[in-house]
Amino acid sequence: MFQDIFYMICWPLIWVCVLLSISIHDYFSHRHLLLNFNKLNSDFRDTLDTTLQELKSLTVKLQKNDVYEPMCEYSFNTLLYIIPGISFILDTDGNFDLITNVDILGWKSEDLIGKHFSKIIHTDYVNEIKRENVLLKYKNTSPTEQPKIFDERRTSPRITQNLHIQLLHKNTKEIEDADMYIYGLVTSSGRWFGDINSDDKEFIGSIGIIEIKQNINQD
Amino acid sequence: MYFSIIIVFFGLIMLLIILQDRKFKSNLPYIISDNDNQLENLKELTERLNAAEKKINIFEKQFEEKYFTLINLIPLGVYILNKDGLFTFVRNFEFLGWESSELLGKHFSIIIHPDYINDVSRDIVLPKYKGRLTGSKNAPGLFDERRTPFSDDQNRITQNLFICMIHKDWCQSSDCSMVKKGLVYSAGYYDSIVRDPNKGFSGTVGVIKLT
Repeated sequence: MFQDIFYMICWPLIWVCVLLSISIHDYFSHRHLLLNFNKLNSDFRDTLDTTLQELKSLTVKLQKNDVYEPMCEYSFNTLLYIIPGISFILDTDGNFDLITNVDILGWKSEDLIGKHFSKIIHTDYVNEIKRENVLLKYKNTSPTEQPKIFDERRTSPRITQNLHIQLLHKNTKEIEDADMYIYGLVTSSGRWFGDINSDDKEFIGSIGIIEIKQNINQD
Repeated sequence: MYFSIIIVFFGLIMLLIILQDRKFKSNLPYIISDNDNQLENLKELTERLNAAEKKINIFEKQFEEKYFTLINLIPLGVYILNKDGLFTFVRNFEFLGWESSELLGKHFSIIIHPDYINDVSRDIVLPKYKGRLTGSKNAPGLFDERRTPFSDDQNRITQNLFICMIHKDWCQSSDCSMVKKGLVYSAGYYDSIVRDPNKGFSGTVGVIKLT
């Protein structure tokens, strides 16, 4: 009888006590680890959420720059090519970042990239239209006088318009022997990054077009 | 006797469960440290994303500046059509009495004289040339051009296409001053480089020079 009671009550009690003591020990010994784990887990989730949101907004931005927007890089490049005459973009040193429709001068566009603009201007004209030379001439003149410059830095409304130049063909000799002169009318503007009226603005180059006036002396 | 065997059996199972639990907890520091590494990686990724976003913003502003500076330089009407021939961008169309924003979403035929629309609209002109080899010189000019200047045969884009345009207030009985003549230069632009076989047509870019 006594043995039966012992089996029925004491053994389970002993087991429960052993298990409880182990669990309590485990709980307290690993409590700080669990707390840290939960905290890191929640930090991880927060950062993940933020990152995902940023990724989403970036994707939206990239989509805005996408081709379905009318003003995209592809339409801009096409526009440069269809404008009648030569279109060009200069960097801050006056080298071509981009130039189109230069077959008329015997060049391929890619051959002129990185080259100075004087490469396509007749030597007689280069010094007359280069910013560093022109500005020296105008140093002591009235501010109302508006010099015309190929590598223009001013923006609208003081941009260079109707600047008359003679263009240089790649094979100059042959062309001049044939009495074929290529003239152009330049319109150019400076490019600035940032608010044009602020001190933080940064000059990033010039952009312009050359309207071709072929054989002007023969007309 | 049987009862004690059952109790011992359950006791062993519980012991096994506890041992497994202790094993997990002993691995917990490694799990946490791994989580910590992931967190560091994510933070680095976030920083890189922020830097990329800044670059995109700068690029966007510079691009917009470049686009508008160019458009302001040219004394020409500039338009961009979508693939359905609707205006998505318009500048310098005041000579036809239109504000730029008014033309957005309208079909280009709204500014072309009805007598000329059949000569400049792609849908009408191209069927006439079906099966005919035109060559670069005789390729038809189109207001809603799809050919691009970046293909090998770049001379096939529209150049010097003569058009008659009508003023916003034009009607059949209007006088000549309501009609403007011009030359169109236009080309298609695509969503990728020309050599990409999966490129898709995005629209037409064109300029109009008044004559």
